[in-house]
Amino acid sequence: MEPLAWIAIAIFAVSILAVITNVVDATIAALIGVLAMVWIGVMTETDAFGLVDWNVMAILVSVWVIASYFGKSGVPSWLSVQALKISGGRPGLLVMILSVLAGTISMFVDNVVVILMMAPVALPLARALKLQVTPLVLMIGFSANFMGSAMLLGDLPPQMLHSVSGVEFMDFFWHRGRPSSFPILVVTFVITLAAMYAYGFRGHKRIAIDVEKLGIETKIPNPLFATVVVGWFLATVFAMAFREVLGVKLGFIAMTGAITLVLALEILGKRVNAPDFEEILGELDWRAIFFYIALFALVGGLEKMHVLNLLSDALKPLFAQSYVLGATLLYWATVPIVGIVEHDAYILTFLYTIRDLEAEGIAPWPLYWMLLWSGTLGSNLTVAGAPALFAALNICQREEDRKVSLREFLSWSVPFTLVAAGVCYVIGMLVWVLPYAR
Amino acid sequence: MYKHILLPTDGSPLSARAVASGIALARATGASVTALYVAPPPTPVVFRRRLPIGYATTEQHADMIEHEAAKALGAVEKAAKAAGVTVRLEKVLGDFPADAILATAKRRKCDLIVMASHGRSGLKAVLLGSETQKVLAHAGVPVLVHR
Repeated sequence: MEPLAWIAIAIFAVSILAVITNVVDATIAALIGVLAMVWIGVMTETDAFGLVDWNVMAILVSVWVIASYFGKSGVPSWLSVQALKISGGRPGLLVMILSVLAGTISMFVDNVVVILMMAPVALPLARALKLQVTPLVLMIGFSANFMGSAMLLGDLPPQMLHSVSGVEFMDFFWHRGRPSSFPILVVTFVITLAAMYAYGFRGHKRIAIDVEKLGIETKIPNPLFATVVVGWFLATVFAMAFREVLGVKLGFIAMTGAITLVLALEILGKRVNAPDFEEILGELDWRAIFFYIALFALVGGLEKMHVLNLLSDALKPLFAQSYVLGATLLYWATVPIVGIVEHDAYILTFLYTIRDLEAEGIAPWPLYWMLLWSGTLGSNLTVAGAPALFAALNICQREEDRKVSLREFLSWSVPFTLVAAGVCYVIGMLVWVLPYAR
Repeated sequence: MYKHILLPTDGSPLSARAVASGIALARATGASVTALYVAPPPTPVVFRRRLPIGYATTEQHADMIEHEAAKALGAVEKAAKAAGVTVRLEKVLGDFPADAILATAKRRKCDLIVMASHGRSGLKAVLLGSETQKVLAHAGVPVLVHR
């Protein structure tokens, strides 16, 4: 391996270590890593720019813009109140319904945004039903994180999979003649929620409540605004599903959806009373956006130095000897690793590695899916694995005015992660790995 | 002299002796006391000394914690009433007793904390530094440590 490749590995390792340990801001650490790679000569500044998948960035930012309007439409609050009504005052059932709601919304909306839009409504509901805040908010966080990978829009890992493998929107439902991410994760989610209900929420007694006295908005403030935003959101998702017919990139479709929504809201003016576009832009998580940009360039630097080829060369005998064992090791090594390190960097690195394995004759698709699922489900293990859980934990601590210990967090995250990862492993092996191994 | 003394208790014999000293001091100085029990948040996994020892529904676990708290705080209430000292009972949820003690002392405007040198944590206290040491290090009011 040439010296520059070693330098690239060192820069990557130091940057990711800085991200994990939070010695400096994660975004700054990743950007400095890219600067170092460029100044040292691992890649040129043009390479660095070109290595970023701007299509994915366009999907991310555009969906966030639409999701921001959605968050202000009053629909999440209205849905949560409906959840309370459906639960009939049964606390355990309410937790499950809110988890399903968070999981469903997170298929379209960034996980952190899901937490931030649902927690303010979930807290008064928890108080009304005398539920502990921490398990409820954590369940919303786990569910949002979990279902983010069911479809292409909700989280960065599926978008990275689209970037590396070319998997399309509809492939997340049915791919190569078998069910893929959406059906498998939905089945896993239902089983996991049932297990969590039995584990931690079955003992709560039913409480009679008056929804009007909860102090939360029970009606959608501006139905026209909500209708336009939800309609536009669904139309954008629908258009993305037909990307191949439209013949343009997904990012361009998402961007078209976001920009035309802003235009429509401007035209409707005071009738919808929408928040300013400037306000929406200001509320985007720009740190995360720049972190993802830097991440693409950092991992791209490794790919450019053929470091990931070496990794795939090293892994090839394992998969060639026993595909089942290789997939199993990949899956179960990923679960704890993404629980303690930033999962996006890990997943992107291994997506490239699997692509390199394909060039060496190893079937990539079962490995792509198993990596995506284990990378998503494992990141629920600790706060370090997913920003959504960090946001959820902060909300819990603020609301309860106390620190939530690792012991308490693990009491909820470990069973959730173990059940989810175990069920998904069995289904993934049966549906994907074993047929390809034969 | 002291007007409001905070008496953290975990129900252990050593903590009971610290409570008895605190109540005697309160009686001598005419102070009132707040008895504090810091309970772990109820989770399905039941822990003892940081080790998982069993499973209970959160409601069952909450009842167990409530029972322990009532026992520990009830003992303080009984001793305080017998000594003619005004007492307030407080239960706080949390896995960080020192933080809860410091926060309660501040919130209740206590001017003295009387607590045992160690409670149930035993060897862990010696190895890792006890909750008492953390309170000593960070308290903004005097701390009387009972051995």
